[in-house]
Amino acid sequence: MKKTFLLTALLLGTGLAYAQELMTRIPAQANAVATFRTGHFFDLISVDEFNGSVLGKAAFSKSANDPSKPKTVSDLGVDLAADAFYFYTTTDSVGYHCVWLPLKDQAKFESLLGKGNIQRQASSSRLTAADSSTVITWNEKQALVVSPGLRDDFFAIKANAARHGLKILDYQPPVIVDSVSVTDVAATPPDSADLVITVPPPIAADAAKAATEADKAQQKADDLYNNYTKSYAEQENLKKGLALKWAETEASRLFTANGPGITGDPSFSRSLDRDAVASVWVRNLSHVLAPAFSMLGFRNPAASRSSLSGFKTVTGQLYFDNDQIRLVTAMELDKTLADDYKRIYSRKLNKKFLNYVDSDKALGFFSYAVNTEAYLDVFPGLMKRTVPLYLFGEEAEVADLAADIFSTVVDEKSIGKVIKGDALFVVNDIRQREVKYKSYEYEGDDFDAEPVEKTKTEPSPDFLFMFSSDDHRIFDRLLAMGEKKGVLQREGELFKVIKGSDAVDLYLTIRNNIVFVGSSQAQMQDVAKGTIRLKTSARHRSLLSRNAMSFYFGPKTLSQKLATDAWLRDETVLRFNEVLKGMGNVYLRSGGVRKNTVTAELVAENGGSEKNALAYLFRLISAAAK
Amino acid sequence: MKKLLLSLCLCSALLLTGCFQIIEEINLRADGSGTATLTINLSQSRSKVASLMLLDSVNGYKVPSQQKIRQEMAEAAAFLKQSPGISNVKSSTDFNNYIATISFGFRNVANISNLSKTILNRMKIRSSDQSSYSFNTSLLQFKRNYQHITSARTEYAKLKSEDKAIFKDATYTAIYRFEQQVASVSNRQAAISRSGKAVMLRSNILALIDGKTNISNTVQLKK
Repeated sequence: MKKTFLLTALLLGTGLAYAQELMTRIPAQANAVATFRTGHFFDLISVDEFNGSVLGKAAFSKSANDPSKPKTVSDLGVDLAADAFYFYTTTDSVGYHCVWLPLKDQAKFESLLGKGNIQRQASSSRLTAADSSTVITWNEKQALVVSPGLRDDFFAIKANAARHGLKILDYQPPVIVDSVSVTDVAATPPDSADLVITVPPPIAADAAKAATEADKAQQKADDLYNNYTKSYAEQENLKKGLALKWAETEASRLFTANGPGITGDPSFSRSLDRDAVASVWVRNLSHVLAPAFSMLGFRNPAASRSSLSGFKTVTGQLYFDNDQIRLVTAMELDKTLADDYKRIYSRKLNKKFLNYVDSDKALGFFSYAVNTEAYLDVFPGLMKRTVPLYLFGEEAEVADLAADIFSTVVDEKSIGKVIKGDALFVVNDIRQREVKYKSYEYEGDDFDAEPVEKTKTEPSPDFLFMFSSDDHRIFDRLLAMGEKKGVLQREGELFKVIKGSDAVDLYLTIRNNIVFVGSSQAQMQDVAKGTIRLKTSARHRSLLSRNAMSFYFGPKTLSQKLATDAWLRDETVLRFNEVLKGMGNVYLRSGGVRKNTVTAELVAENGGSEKNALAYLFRLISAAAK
Repeated sequence: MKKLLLSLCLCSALLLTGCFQIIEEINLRADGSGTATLTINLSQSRSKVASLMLLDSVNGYKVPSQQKIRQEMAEAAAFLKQSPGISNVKSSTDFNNYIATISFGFRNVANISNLSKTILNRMKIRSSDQSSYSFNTSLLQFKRNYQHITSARTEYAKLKSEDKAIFKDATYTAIYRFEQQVASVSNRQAAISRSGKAVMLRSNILALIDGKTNISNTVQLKK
């Protein structure tokens, strides 16, 4: 027993040390790292269970008939007991997407790579993808995949491009003048000095000659375009060659790297948690967002990189505990942004809202609490910091001006009283609602069309929405006006919407400085009279009152509501219900800003009797795939 | 997260299950002239249609606005007005019940051959309807020829299951009314009215798409 324990400890120790070794080969300056703890994953679900699962089968379905292709995850040659990593590094001119894979069987791994031109070296082997987009380097212990991407903002600067033997192509399509329709070219001078007229002014009297000139102009334009596309292809090839050369150098550097690498970074080290199956760490979100905005076509990426300075480290951890799946995310903010968000999230949800949640019956809810006054107050500053530079490019002052006008015009205090900033939306039921529709019957002597009104049932949610308003005079006036115009019908303190869409019944009322909108007449009558008495569970109370934002979905409650003949007649509902039955509750919560960090947590409870939440997830996927 | 996605996918499938009616009515005089009315009735799915019309697109398909639908209808009507032998074109759209109707007079029933398909196409509704109509005044014989297009089946097969659900309960109804009594009809699915002067043929649109139903019909009137 003691020997077995010692041996296990030794093996585990070796595994950990090796995982650590691969991690040290992630460069210290990496911008983002994702860790997949393969060993932990396969502790929770065995390799055989994975291979037999819907996901396992789907992953290898395409290679089922090819004996040379892998059939199971074990055929990949990857060490399923060690960690795998993705990381992204960047310089001012190039970014590298890289993957470190621990290997167990080099031969099996090589069989995945096909019949490419493998370069064998003393300590490693290398393969370059046919399209030169990726370099794969490996030995018997590990494989490194490097995929480079040159940075457009760097190569948009002529001097930078020239330094690497590249040219910036400036293609301007020529303007072809319609030789027949133009009668007085001299009278219409070009608007811009840059305008290129490729044909001389045609002479209307000599249409044939003008047509020939137009043909020549077209030919010239075609030649220009063809030359451009040829040059473009040449430049792209040069870029590809440059990127590949750099990727090979980077791969060699990483493969033989020594030292602590990223493990020496305190922020990264703090983010490590071996209990998580997968983790993500992003050094600085601003640095990731800026090139992303650049790729999306926003101008002035260089400026946007400095403007988006408020967002810092982002971390995410995915856990599969025995009883729940947890996705925990955290985003660090700089002090200015954190102070702004602290003010925005300074409001708690109105405690009176808790009286309107029936935890036993509610299918789900969504709540949020922000301070409208603070939000409107900090909004212009936020807009100035984040919006103008990447959205408006050189016209940033337009955004500045817009922010100042907004700040001047808006009375934050008054609006903050009308809509305080907290709201709760509760879905209480889903029922079959009778709706009318028009059809035609042809029962007459001559099959004359007779329009008839018929009824049918449709699924309709019963919901209750509420928000706080300390100054609801504007809503009182709106309700009075609605009644006067015949849109609303008053029954005591309750207003029923009688005009507009009949897809859902709508009732409105205001009580205790809360504006209510609901679809259930009975519940809304109780709300209006103040006689509603609902039981909110301690868990829901905590979720709602302690968080700036919360979400809850109760699949089993929904399943119970759907378990009637009327619902289960529908095959889709029947299938849906089978999945719901086996699901646990889902929660999402965000507590706002604490210690300059915004956190959010998604929890999906293990709704079955599986040994852990990963096995539960696999069972759920299998049920949904049926 | 997977659970949320699952729920959303299944809910969208539920949302899109609906049905609609297409009704084609032709009133034919002894000289071969008459009136025709084409009605598209989405009333039974109106709450779903109303919800969908709040969206810009559904399942990758662009959802037309009320204004766009009115414009399409006006264009269809304008097209009809210019068609040979067609007169008195009227169109209406009821956005409370989601019913669209277009009616017109024709000098000869042959004038409306292929019109149904053209109108449906102009309203951006795919149709497999390869119609031709004729009336032999001397034989007093009305013919409605229909040919199934196999590509309709192929196109339908390409649709996602949630999109296919739209056609599940959709129906097509054709009614032909005459001044004379009907002596016989060639299509067994066709019914003759109590007055003996009208013929009705109903089909599920899916059966038309599949080619399981043929709505061709020869109506022989009494001399």
